[in-house]
Amino acid sequence: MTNPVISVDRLSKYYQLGEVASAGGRFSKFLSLWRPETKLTEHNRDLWALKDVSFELEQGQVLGIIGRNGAGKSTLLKILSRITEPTTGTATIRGRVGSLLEVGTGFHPELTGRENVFLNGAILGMSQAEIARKFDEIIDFSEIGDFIDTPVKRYSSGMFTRLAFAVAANLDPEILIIDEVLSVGDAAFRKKSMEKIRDLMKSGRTVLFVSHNIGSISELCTSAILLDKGEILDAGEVGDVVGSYAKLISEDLIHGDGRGWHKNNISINRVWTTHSDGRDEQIFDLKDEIVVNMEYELHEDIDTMQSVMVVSRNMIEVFTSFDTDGHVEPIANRKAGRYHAQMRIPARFLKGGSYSISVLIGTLTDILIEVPSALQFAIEELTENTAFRSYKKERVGHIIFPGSWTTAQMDQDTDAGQLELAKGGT
Amino acid sequence: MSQQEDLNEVRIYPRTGFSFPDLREISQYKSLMFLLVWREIKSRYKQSYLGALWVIFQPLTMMSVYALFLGYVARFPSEGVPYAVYILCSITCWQFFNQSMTGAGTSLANQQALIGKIYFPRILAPMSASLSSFLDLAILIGLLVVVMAFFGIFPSPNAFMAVGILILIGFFAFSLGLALTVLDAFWRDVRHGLGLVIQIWYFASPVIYPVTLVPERFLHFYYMNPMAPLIQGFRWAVLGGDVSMPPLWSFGSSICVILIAFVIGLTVFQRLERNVVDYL
Repeated sequence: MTNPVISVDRLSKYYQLGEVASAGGRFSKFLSLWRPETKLTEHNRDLWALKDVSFELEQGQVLGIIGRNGAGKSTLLKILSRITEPTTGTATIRGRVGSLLEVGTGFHPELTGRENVFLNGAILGMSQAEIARKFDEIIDFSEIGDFIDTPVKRYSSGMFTRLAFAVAANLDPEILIIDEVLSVGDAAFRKKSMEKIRDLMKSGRTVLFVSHNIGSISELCTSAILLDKGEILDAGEVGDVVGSYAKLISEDLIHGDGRGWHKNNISINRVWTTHSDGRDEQIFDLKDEIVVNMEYELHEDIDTMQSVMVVSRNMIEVFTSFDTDGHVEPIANRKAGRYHAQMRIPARFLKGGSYSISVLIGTLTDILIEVPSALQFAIEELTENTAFRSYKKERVGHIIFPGSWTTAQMDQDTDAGQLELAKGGT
Repeated sequence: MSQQEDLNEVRIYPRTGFSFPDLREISQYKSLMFLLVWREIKSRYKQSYLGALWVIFQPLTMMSVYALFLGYVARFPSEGVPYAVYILCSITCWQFFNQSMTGAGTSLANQQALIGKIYFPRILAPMSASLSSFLDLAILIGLLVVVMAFFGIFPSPNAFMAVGILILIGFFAFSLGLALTVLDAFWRDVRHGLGLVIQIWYFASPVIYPVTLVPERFLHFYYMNPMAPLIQGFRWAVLGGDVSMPPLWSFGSSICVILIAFVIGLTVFQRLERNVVDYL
């Protein structure tokens, strides 16, 4: 019992990405496969997709794996699911592994749903008897009904996904490897799937979970590892690792250089974002207030001055704000000197994503200086799973919609329906 | 309980050198193998009205065309048996060999969607491809029985030996397929080249002509082709009568070649199978 369920010891995977075009290249690659003991000649186009990765996982632990694209997450899962072999290192797995690397991969379009259930079960290493025992449960969960004897190529993509997930989740693997499966299916089924996964986790299954949705990682996982360029950058408590991830992606964002921008006797020295408590930050959570700071210097007095910030998300302007907005007289006469302006973006106003801010200083009639994309910042779904929220990052749209819906059925009970509508009208 | 845990413990490490296929694991996956066979068979005749009947059209057409031009017009000898029946025997063998080898030889590349996403012992891919060609063989044999009945020919008392010969042919095709399929994963040239080789091999084997047409002094070399004694042996076992039996030594050499092909095929496969997924 004290044995870890998964122990990974200095696992590495080397990919030769050299040109495939020349037959000679392929041949020498072939030879190096034949004699893997021979020393690998490293080319600059080759890649350690995974380098010296070690960790252990106890029974019942739920481990999230996070990292940017190409960090080695998929390679790690592929090795642990035994799809490809590591170049060096070992891993030991105790228990039956069910891997959901992509839902429905074992499905064959020409076979019926029933045949595919048995095929997929066999792929997960179950005997026919075991699958037969679970069969009704699977059909119930998938909501496929009578279509079970129809070839799956006639299924809608939703039905396909539902059946595939139902098979994988109901066949009771002891260790579950999940890669981004929750991004499929319609909302109701996704919710059901989440609940199923949560149940599996509660019932002592060991789970390895990869997702780009940091919110669902925070919600579901007890611990996490952060991969970058094939190496483990951080490992431990899920909150800490998510924090390291936030720091890592903030390094990707462009920093304004120290010298600033100058035009028409105005210098914009620095534009930066801070938390409400004043510390510098470029990655914010949905529930953080964002303070945009601008330090500028006027080398002469300017009458009717206005400073402006335009906030864009994915090249689309979300709003434009003037420092004089709401003033009785929308102008300010400013003396020469240094100024520090702050614009506060309230918490839970912008949804997750990357933002850029353009700043302008001008008068009522002229633009004196304009700095497009002076600053980037990002809002991440760090603490919240936004799967069923208007502001899920992947949805179309740019704001956190504060409204709500009511829907009344009109045809079943006419009186009640009218009553409901009447109420809505007042 | 502890034994159960041992069974489920999997060690993942880079294998080096030759590794023998894990027979216990393969037997654990036997239900998957049968499903793969089923999937293969079912998808082969997907959405076709005549389904498996297509299996017999090709040999039936080949038989008719050859019987007309080679048998009737060119007067090919056929060792005292109607020419049509005579060549249907050999076409059955050849079709089985060809289909089985090509199927196994392209199995990894054809199953790449599965191999890239899911683990199973990779040898299951060529195994299931090979096994699925046995169904077509059964249909072909049914056809042969019908055609023999039509011509009023009774099988010879040695017909049971034909079963052994077919198993040898299947095993030979599988052995070649093992090596071909991993090479095919690296170079798709293999499948194109294979078509050419098979064509030449077809004419180097006694499929559409009797062995008696081969000049005596070349017969020694001729029987070194491992397929030659098997096909001629099949005709002899099924038809009996005046059909000549291949010399015993040629069966011996054929079996030797098949065993060598199996060892080489398995070695190549086991050596290259591990990382084939990275190159598919």
